[in-house]
Amino acid sequence: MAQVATAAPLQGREEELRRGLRVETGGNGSGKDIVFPWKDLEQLIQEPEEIGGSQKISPEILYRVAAPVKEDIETPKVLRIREIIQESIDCLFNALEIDDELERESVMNLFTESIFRLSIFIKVNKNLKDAICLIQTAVEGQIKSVYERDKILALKEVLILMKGNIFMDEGILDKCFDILESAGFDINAPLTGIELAL
Amino acid sequence: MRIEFDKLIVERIILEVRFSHGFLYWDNCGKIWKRICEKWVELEMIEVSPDKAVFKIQDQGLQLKFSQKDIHLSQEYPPTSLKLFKEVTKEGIPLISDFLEIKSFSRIGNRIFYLYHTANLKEAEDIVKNTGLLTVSGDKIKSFGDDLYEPQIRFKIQNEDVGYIFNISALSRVLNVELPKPLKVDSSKFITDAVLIDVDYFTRKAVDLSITDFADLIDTVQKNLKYNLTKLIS
Repeated sequence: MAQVATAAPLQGREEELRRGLRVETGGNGSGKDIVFPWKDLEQLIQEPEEIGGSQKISPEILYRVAAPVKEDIETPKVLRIREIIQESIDCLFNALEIDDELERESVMNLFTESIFRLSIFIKVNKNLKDAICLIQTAVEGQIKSVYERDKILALKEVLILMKGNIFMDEGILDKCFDILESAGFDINAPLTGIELAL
Repeated sequence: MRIEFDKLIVERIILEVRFSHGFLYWDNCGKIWKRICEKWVELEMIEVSPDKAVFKIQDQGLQLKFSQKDIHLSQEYPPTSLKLFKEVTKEGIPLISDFLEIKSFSRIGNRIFYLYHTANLKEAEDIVKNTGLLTVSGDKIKSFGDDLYEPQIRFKIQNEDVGYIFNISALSRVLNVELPKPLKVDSSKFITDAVLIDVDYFTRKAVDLSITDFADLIDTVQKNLKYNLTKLIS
């Protein structure tokens, strides 16, 4: 186990102040470093997010503050974004269970409201910004139409991806685009009528 | 005597992430260096070898080191806001991780060395002895000598996800720096006697880069310590 290698001034009565020595943080509490279950690099690069999923820390635990008065603590952005996304996902789950079209559309209105609340977080990550814009564009393009089941499922899939990847890379963003496009959302709606000079 | 959190001086703060398979270090070291220099122009290259690359901002006491197995950032006597430290971790670690194609960390550690300045070593020793974390009865002490000196307490508190290692000790040290005449060292700000409270926060499970905001993580650890550290040691 790589244990603490502290710099000189930290212990003893007459230690010299030596600079430039490396100080590490200590072990992980298990007596050894965590060893991932994957075997080779190829496996790691292709599907890292699916490996050892059950052994990962959730953001709710990572950013948890044990404070006497919770109201005094500003919730980290990651958790606030995840909360809003979860509200949106809950709306979609509810909508999927409603047979009455009118009632379902009113739940989807609540969903739309949640999605637009994400706008304040567009500075968190460039790809997240694009994903938020993407989903808002999809929702805006849907205003005059009724949501079909496949579209609700696609929105749910995209939001679950976003929730697990707040600081997303371009690969995840592309995946979001593909899911929405293949569900029939008009992602290019804002460009309608514009002649592009190619 | 009760230690007040606001009177603790951060002598050094460290944030370290560990990972497996960072082999692209050997391919991308120069590219990483170039991108990092564009962001923080004051960074000086100290050492680059197949083992590690080390950079520093001397004025700020900030050091960034990365290799095929970890990224390590430390700062000595950071300002209370930890502005630069948080900025470099928040932007630098994802940047390096992208080049190394690292998506998960096997461990994240955030270690802070606090000093509580005392008038002398005896005062520091008394504070450590009175934390309630160390109990040695007078009888036991008398079996070996007159009094207990240089107390040091080390323990770990953890759950299945995260943990803290605490190391509390009385510290006395001298500054030993030689300069050619007629130069003299101004050691007025050097703390010789203190209680050293070394706190090492660590994760015990893998953490995805895609959900990690290092500035928020540092804030979370700081808040947890602010609310709970003095309760633990008083």
